[in-house]
Amino acid sequence: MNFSCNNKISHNQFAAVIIAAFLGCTAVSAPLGIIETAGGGAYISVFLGGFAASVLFYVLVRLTGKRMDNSYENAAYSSLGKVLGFIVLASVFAYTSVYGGFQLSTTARMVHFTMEKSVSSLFAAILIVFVAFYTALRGRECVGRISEIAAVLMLVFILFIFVLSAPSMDLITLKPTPDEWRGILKGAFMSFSALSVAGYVFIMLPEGENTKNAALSVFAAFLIITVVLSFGTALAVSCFGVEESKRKLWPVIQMMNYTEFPGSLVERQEVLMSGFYVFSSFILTSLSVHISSVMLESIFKRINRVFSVLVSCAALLFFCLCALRKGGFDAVYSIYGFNLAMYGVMILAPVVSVLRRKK
Amino acid sequence: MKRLIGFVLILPFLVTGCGGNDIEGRNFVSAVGYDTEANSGYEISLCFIEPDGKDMYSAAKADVISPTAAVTDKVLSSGKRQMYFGHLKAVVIGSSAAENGSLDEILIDLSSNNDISMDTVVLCAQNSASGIISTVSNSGDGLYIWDFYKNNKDRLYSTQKLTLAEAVKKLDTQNGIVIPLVDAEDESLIINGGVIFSNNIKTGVFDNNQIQGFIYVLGGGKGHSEVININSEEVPFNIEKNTSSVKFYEQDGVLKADYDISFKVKRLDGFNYPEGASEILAQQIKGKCLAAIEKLQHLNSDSLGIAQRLKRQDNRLYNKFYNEEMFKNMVINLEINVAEK
Repeated sequence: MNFSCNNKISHNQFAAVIIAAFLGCTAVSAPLGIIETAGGGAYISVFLGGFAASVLFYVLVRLTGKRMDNSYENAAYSSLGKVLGFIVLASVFAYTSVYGGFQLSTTARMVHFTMEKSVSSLFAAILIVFVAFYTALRGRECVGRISEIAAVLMLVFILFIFVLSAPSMDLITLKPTPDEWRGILKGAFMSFSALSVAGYVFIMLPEGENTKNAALSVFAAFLIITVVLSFGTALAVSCFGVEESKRKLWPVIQMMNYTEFPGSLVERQEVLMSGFYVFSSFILTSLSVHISSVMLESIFKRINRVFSVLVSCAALLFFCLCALRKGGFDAVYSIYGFNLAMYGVMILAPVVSVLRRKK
Repeated sequence: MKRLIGFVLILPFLVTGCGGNDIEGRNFVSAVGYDTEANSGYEISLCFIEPDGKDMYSAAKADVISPTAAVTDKVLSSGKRQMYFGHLKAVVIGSSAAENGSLDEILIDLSSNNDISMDTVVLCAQNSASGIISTVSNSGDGLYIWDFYKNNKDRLYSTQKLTLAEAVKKLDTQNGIVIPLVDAEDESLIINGGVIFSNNIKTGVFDNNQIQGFIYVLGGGKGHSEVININSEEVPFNIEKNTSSVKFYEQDGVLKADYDISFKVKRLDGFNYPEGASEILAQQIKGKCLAAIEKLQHLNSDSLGIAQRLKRQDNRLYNKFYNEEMFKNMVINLEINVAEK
């Protein structure tokens, strides 16, 4: 563990940030559409897409990590030039704000529906952004330390739920039919695209020479997310069937609620589930605000940290409010159409940086 | 700047919702019943718990006429009290709603309500759901049905627990479903047997033997007891394990299914078990299973999910034979294996 307060994170913290930030949000948003496309074999799609993304990021981090000029922002300017570098950093800022805002709106909705209906979604969103403001202001080290706690708690709890649910899985529903394979492959592509946001890893890379460890941390973290999400999707489809899973807004979270706790310890366990999801959302929002503010600072060199974090919070909250408006959810969700393009944008700077050095 | 930050920090507390209802200001719905009214939609009966009633809390009943099956706290509020569905335990489908094809709408509306747990128990009333809800609210706090399943988890002989999640899944994938039957007699509830649905409409009823056979075919007999009668003496067996598998094949242009149903049973102390008791038990179980399958085939209710199984297990056969009456026309063979522990 790293206790040095030097705005650096260890490899373990790096992996923990990825797990804690993406496990909750992908559990909610990734199966949307994938179950509709892939049917009973959605879990295969999630696994294939997630595994492909894990391998891709492993290779990219392994290749680029050591060769980037200290940071992602420097690499963008030095390898792409001022104009293209500016466009890339501005795109990352915009995408991070939209993505973070969308995920925040989903969390706010869940708090509203599962915890207390008279608590408005707006209140939940503002509270999370307040915490994210503080965390982002403290820098990546603060995000890393919180994530270390969150990731362990989340994984232990999710594994516990899976162990309880696994014996009652309906394997017949999960067996894909030959005419479903086309949809499964399409779903795998969707799943792969949904992880484009993981381009964050280049911005959060731990500083140091050991790119092998950094790449392994990325690979392990994405593999854990992929396995958990794939298993969660399988359980959701097995519990509710394909059609009902399509109708549900967050099938994986609701499946966890359906699992019977031994000894009737918890009556309304969905609140507990939502709690873990909200924890993940705190991390993702903090990460989004941190990354947006870093992008802003690299675009406008003269602005101070507090101002850049405040602007990032405002941008994220704005997109969250847009998504919370009637019809806004679908509109903001359509940003997923740009997923694949964002892969290109996110990895452009590191890849060009490597190619130039090789020359 | 500090004042501005202070103001922004205080602002969200204005939208906390703290002005909402306290626990004492809510009614907690524990059971809901559906009957259909001619030309006026649904008569929805609610058994709910009033936290500030006499004896700390008490159960009461309310009836609401609604054009749709959806239950929301706004539609069903009684006075200032908000109806809260987060603790709903049982849904009872009345005979009228079952007969006119409302099952689908009721269950899907319930499952789309985020407040309602997918673990809620679904039952079908012999007569009106309103009568069942009255009995439930008169006999206590309305949690009896839930407790019945919870406390008898492995000791349900002539019924099975059907959750909202299972029911909706079956409605989506099968053309038939069997819902546990509930009846009220002298202010007490009787839960046994099952109501058979074909294409969303009630078409028949399973008696106790048939529902037991149905449960065995699905491989859910663990924890049940089976009593055989030899020389006017009743001899019980405890079922420790029940598994079921099916193989599909085509023979002479006919689709056939071979069910292999296995049991591990245990003898109880204090009874005389004559020689060949296991064979008699196997025969008895086979009789029950055949009775259940014959009834389902007669009503063309694929409550066993055979079409879905065939689709996943052997897609070629499914594409060749699938039609509206595939289940009704297929030949089903049973192989019952009983092993003593």
